[in-house]
Amino acid sequence: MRQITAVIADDEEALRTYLKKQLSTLWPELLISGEAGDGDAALRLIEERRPDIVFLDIKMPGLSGIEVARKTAGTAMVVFITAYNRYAVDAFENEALDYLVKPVTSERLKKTVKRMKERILASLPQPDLPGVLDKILKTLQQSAGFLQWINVKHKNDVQLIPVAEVCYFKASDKYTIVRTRDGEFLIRKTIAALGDELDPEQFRRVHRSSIVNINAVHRIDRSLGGTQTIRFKDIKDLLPVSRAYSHLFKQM
Amino acid sequence: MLKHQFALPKYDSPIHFKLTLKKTFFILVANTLIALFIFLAHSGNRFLENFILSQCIGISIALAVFTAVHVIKTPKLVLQVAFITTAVIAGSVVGMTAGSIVLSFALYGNMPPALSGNSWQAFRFTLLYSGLFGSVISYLLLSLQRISDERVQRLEAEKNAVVTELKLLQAQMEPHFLFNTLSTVISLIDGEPERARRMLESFTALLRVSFETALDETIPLSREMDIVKNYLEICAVRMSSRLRYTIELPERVRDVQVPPLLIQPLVENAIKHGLEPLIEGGELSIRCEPESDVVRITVADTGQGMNENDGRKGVGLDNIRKRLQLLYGGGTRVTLFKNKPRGIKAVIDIPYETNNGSHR
Repeated sequence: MRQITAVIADDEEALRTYLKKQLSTLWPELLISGEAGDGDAALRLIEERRPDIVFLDIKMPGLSGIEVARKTAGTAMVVFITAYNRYAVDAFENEALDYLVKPVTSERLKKTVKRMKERILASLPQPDLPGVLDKILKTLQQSAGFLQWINVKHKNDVQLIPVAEVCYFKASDKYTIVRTRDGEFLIRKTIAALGDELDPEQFRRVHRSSIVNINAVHRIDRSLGGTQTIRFKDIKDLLPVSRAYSHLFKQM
Repeated sequence: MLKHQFALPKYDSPIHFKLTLKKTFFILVANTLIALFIFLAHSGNRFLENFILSQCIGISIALAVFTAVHVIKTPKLVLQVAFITTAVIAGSVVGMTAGSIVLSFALYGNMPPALSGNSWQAFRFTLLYSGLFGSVISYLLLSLQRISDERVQRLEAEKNAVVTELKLLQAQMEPHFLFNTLSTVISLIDGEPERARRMLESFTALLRVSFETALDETIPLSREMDIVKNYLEICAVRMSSRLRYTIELPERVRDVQVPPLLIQPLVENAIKHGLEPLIEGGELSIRCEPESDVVRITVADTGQGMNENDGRKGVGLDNIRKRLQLLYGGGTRVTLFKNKPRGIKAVIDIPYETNNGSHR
């Protein structure tokens, strides 16, 4: 029977050493052909050594374990090593992937080794990795890609303002005024661009020239003529709602 | 904002009444006004007579009602009304008797004459007024007391809810960190027992200080920095040469009172999101500088920084924001900057606190 090889990728040297030692007792025939301390090194190592099994830490410096597995899909059986994280564990469980949760106990490692051996004997393929991994990547990346931080120049520094703290954005010539509870800041990004990048669940266009953070709104006043004006919780500014957008607040 | 169920007193609750200087004054003024009213409405008798009688009756009713309220403890509204009414009538009768004796002595220098038919009429008439005004004023005062009691209770409930929320926010320790630390210790224990022991020692110290201080409203800055140092020691074992750190804590600010576990989450963020993802790691520097009326605490890392879409919400930052809001009501906050040449710089200005640590 040919030699089965494995590589271990984890940013902690101690854990790699520990895993190697445990594996040498539980699976003496397995040859650990290499170790890597970050994602990029892991990728190079896998491409170079072509191991049968890869132990891959999810959270590594550089490329993440998931990204490495995605790039090398189909070349090796993957056992993910993950820190305690309910979502990740659920995801692996659902997709029938092999995984170890830190702290890795020898009990659990024994089970994993048994499964690996069975898989190799039966030459069972692992599940469709790329598809599954894309799905997991999506569940683990909470940010849906919406704008989260506004970079503003503040004296000599660049301040990072979380969008949640912005009351409203308002166009002003070539700039946009960012109004927070603490004051006003100018940014170069246009209202149109902001409208595309901000989370529509939280930010609403109320006028050609302004976008409002729904969570910062105290109430909407309506005049006899039907004009709506927005009042905010923490600031005294008033903001008109133009007729084109007034339907947004009909139910409020 | 906060949502809580307020424990409003049920409508059926024992009456509670506290006689204050303000209420006494109110009663005396009311007596005077009643005397004036009767004087104007029924010309023919002297204001002084009305005034003396009115004060006697008014004070007597007040004493009777006051005594009744302190004696009866029934929560039943019907019984309360019955008792108070009885007290008002009894107070009126006693007050009128006392009043006429005082009047006789003061104005005529002798005992009042026995009741004639004419004065019987006057008696009934006075009793009617006493009962009427006595009831109205008693009702008014008791209601006002109930309203202010309810307000006190509501404020109390509100305060308790805020305190509970603060404690919950303080006590949040990430299981992730706990298990990661244990994982490293388990890995080290055979091959490098000395490092494993050092890590466990730091971890024990961290846990001890966190638990001891988690329920304190404020702790000295030096103690918070102990927590931070132990936390960083643990991270340093894991990251070895990838993590370098410095802590600047001038003697002058060591004893400044700060809310516990306020700085540690900033450090945790810097490690987790800034330095750990970098293959080459980086530096972390913590500076505590005394300013005119605040201590400025800066946590700066040379990590990978954030891009504009980075959903780095985490427990840490939200938690700190909420706590600062609850503690200082928007008076202070975390501000994030881009660090130079790269990474993030988080700044918190904490107002100087005295030892009794009241924030609001």
